[in-house]
Amino acid sequence: MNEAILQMRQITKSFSANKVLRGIDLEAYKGEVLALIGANGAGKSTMMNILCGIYQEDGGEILIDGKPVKFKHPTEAIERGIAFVQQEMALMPTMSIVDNLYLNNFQTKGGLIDYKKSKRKCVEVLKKLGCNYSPDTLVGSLGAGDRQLVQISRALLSNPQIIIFDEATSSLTLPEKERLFKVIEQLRRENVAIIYITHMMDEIFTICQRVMVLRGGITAGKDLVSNVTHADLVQMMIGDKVKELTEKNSKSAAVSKEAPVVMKVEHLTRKGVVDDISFEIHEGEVVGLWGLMGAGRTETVRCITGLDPIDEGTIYIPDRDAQLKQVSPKKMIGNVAIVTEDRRVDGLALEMSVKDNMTSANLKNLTGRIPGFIDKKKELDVCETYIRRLETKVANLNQPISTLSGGNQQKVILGRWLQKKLKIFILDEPTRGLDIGAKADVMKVIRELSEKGTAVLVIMSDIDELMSVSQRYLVMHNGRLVQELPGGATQTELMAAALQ
Amino acid sequence: MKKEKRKFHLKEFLMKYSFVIIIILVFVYFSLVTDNFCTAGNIISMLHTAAPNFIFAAGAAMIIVTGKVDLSIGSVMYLATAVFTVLIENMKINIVSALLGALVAGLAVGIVNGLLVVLLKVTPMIATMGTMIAVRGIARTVSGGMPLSLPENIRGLGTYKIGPIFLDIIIAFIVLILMYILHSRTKFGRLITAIGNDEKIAVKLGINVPKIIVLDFMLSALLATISGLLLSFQVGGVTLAFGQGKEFTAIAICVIGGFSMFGGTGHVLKGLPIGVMTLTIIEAGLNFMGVSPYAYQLVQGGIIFIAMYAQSYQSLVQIKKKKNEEIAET
Repeated sequence: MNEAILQMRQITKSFSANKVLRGIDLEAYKGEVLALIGANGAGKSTMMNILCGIYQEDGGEILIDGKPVKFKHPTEAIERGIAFVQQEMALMPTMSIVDNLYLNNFQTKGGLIDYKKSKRKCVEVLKKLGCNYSPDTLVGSLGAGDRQLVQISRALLSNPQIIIFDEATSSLTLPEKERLFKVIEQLRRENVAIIYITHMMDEIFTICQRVMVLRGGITAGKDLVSNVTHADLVQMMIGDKVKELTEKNSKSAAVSKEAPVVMKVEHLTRKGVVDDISFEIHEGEVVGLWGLMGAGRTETVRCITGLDPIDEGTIYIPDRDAQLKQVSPKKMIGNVAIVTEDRRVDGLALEMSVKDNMTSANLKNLTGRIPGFIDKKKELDVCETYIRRLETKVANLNQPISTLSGGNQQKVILGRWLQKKLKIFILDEPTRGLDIGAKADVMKVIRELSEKGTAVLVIMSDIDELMSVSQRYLVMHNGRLVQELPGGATQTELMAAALQ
Repeated sequence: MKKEKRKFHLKEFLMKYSFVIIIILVFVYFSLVTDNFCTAGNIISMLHTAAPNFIFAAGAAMIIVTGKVDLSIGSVMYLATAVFTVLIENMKINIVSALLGALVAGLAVGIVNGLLVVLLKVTPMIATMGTMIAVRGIARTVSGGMPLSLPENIRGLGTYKIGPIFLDIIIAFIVLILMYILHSRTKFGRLITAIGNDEKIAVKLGINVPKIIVLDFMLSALLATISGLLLSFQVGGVTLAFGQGKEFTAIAICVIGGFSMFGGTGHVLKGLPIGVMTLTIIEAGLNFMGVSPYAYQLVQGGIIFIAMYAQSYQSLVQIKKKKNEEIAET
C-alpha cells in the first residue's frame, strides 16, 4: 500500500450562510484514479476548487506528501504539482495551440517569446497524448476531442503529480472518450494521482480504482471500486432520506393518458447535445424532466423553444380545431411560456421596471383605443392582479426589477407568462436560489396551473422538489431520453435511471 | 478531408482578399483616368499623408484586439499637440521638455481610460466617449480656445526628408514593425489577444487582466500622441477641430484591415497597411479627379459596409465549415 500523496482533512467551506462542505476527508494515491461522485450540489466542485486554489477553505488542512500547504492563488497550486482539467473549455479559439498552452506561463528570451523552445516542448507533450497537430494550428479549427487534449496538454506542461478531471467526457464522442481513457491510464502508470469527477457510473468501473461519494457536503462513503456495486453507489448518493420522502407523496394523481395531447416532440436532435428526443405532454399534466447535470435537460427545452437551433426533429401543438399541427421551434415562444434557468441573463431586463418586465411578453393585448399605444390603465390592472395573485413583494411598480429579491423576480417572470393564458409552461429551474417561502409559492403556482388544465414541463435539480410536483418523469442521460417513470417512482428509481 | 481544403472557392477567395483587390483596382482606375497619379512623387506624398494614420490606427488596433474600443484617440491627438505647442510657443520651453509634456498629457488620458474600464467597470465605448468629450474641452482650455501655430523650425520637421522619403513615413514604418513584434512575439501581445478571445477565461488562468488593459489603453494614447504631433508638424499648427473624427477613421482602418470588433483576430502587418492605403488612395484619387470632398465620406461609408460584410461572411463560412466537419466526424 503506497502513501497518500494528497490528504485533505476535515475541509469545511461556506458561502454566506450556505454550508457547502461540512468536514470532508479526501485522500488520493499515486498511480491510482479516484472517482469523485455525488448528486448536483454535493460539493465536488467546491472541494476541487479549494484544492486548486480558486477558493480558500474555511477550516481543515491540505497535506501534499505529508507537508501542509495552503493555496491563496491558482498559480500556487500549479507550482505544487496540481493540475485542473476543467469541464468547460478554457481555451482561446483564435490563438494557436502553442499560445494556448503557454498563455499563463510564456517562456521569454530577451523580452520576446521563445517560440522555438515552446514549440518543441509543445510537440513533445502533444505526441505523448497521441496528437500530431502542428503547434501553430488554431485551436478554433479543432474538434471538441482535440480541444480537450489541448487542455490536458496544458495541464501536463507543469509535470503535475495530481491531475483533476472535471467531467472530462461530457462533450466527447465515443472514440474521443476512449482515447481520453487511454491517456488517463497512461498517466496513471506514470504514477500520477488522478481525481476523476463524473456522473457516468460506467466510467467509474472502467478506469477508476477508488471511489468517494459526497452527499450534501459530507462524505457518504469511500472504498475501492472493486468492493462496491452500482447499487451501493446509488444508495450512498441518496442516503437515508429515501423512505421519509417517498412516504409524503401528496401530489395529485396522474393525468389519464386519454387527456388531449398539448405538445408532441418527435426525434428532436441537436448534434452532440441532444439525441433523438421524443415525448408527449397531456393537458393538465406536470412532467418532471429529470437527469443529472449535463444530461441535456436545459438543452432539450432550449431546442424545443427555438432558443438553440436544432438539426432534426418536429414539434406538434394543437391548432384551433384541436388537431395536432407541426410548428417550427422558432414559433414556439408565442405558444409556450418559458422560464429559463438563468433568469438574470435570459429572463429579465434588469434595469427596467417591475411593470415593464411583467408586461413585456403581452404588450399586444394591452393596447388601448389608439392602435400601437399601450393603455396605461389596462397595464396597471394586469400588473396588480398578478402581483396580488403571486404574493409578490413590491414597493412600487416602477422600481427597477434588479432591486427585488430573487424570489420576487421569479414571480414577476411567472406573472408575465400567466397573463397570456398559454397551454404549456416550460420551467427550467424555477426555484433555483429562492428561499423556502418563495419556493413554496412557485410550487403552488405549478399545481394551480395543472389543475386549470395547463401542461407543465419542469426541470429541477433538487430531486425532492421535483418529486413534490411531478406526475410523471422523463429521465435523461447523456443527451438521450432513457426512461419514463410514473409519478409514484421512488427516489432510488429516479437516481438509478439517471445514472444508468 | 485535406483534398477538400485545397478546393478553390472563388467567393471565399474574393472575400478573403477583397481589399487587396479593391486597392489594386482603384489604383489602376485612378492611374488611368488622371495624370500624375501613378508617379513616385504622388505615391510618396500619399504615404506622407497616411503616416499619422498608420500610427494612431496601430494603437486602435491593439485596443480592438481585446474586443474593446478607444474613442478618445482624436481628442488625445489634440490635447497632446495643444500642450506641446503651448509649451514651446508661449512658454518658450525647449523641444525635449515640450515633447515630454505632450507625452505625459497623452498617457494620463490613457491611464484614465484604462482605470475607468478596469476599476469602475464602465463599458469601454462609453468610458472613452466621455474622455473624448472631456479631453477636447481640456485641450481647448489649454490652447485658450484659439488655433495655434508652431514655430517655423519645428514646422520644418513635418516636411523633413531623408533621401527621397519623408521622416514621418520612416517613423510610421518603424512603429508598424514594432507593433507587429509586440502583437505577435511578446507576452503582452499574446495576452491582449487572449483577453479579446475571452476575458473571463483569461482571469481564470491567472492573467492580470486589469493591468494589461490599463497598459493597453496607455499604448493607444501614446501612439495617438505621436501621431498627433506628426500631423501637427505636417499642417504647421493646431486648429480647434484638430484630430476630430480620427477615432472613427482608426476603427474603419482596423475593420477594413480585418480586425474583428469582437476581438482576438487581426494581423498588424497584413491588415493595417491595407486599411490605411484603401482609404488614402481613394481619398487622394477622388481629390485628383476633382470630385467634391463630401463624396469621399459617402465612399468611406460604403467601404466600411463592405468590410463589415466581408467579416461576417467569413465567420459564417467558418461556422458552416466547422459544422460540416463535426458531422463528418460523427
